[in-house]
Amino acid sequence: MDELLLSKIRLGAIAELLTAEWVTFPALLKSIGTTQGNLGSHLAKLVEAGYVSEEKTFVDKRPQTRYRLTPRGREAFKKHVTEMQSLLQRAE
Amino acid sequence: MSEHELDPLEARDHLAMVDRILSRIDEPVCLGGLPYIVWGVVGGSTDFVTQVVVVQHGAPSLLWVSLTLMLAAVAFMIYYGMRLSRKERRGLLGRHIGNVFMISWITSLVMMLLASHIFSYWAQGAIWSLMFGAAMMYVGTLARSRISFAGGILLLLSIIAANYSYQYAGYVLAAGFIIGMGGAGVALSLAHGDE
Repeated sequence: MDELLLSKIRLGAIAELLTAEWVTFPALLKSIGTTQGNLGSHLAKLVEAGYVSEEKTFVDKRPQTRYRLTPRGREAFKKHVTEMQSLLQRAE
Repeated sequence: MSEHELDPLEARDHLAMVDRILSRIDEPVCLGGLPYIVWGVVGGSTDFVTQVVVVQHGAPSLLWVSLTLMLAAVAFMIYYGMRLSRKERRGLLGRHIGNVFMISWITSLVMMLLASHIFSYWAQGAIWSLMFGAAMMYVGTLARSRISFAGGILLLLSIIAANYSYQYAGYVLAAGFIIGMGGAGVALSLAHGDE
């Protein structure tokens, strides 16, 4: 299984980004429900692995950070979910 | 969160979380009515003005009204796009819907500007109705919006109606835009407001 996606927070973040063109940091924070620092460090790992891309922009003169899922992240998510499903099938 | 291999219980828990997130995200897209109203009015006024100027020999200066409205609508769409980019989340479906209308608009415009020897003015009017009607129906199925789908059908029906009332084709196509597209926009705005 994908080591990076064994974390529930990182898996949740990828699932949030799956059907989105981009999602802002506050929106991810709201839906995942963890602390800013914790989410920030998990997202940094995903960015470092190339699963997610980070984009810093200004909206109404305020800085905004957005995240997008990369093709690599999408593939990793699909593979990881398939592996979890096979694990469950084997266990049943 | 510990980072070890998952056991089946944890895997079930993780998959359930993914399911929850995906089913929450899978809500229908909330279509904004304003772009439909703006383009319904622009399309309708263009067909109306063409009928008045070309068929009934009205003042050619009226064509400037159409051009001004078209440019105003383009400016509105740029503003609308900028407003959408301020949102916290932009879904892939939203982008797809934007692309469908953008391609319909560009195709119609290119046909109008570069294929005027092949398509007469009513054929050009019908192309606008056809492209936008098809786009509205497609978007209606994507966003699960009956209003958008019905508006698209009305636009397409206006082409058929115009075919059988050729003398007043411009008025009929204009009515198609105003009722089919503008009306759908009003109904969408009343149904869930505009953001």
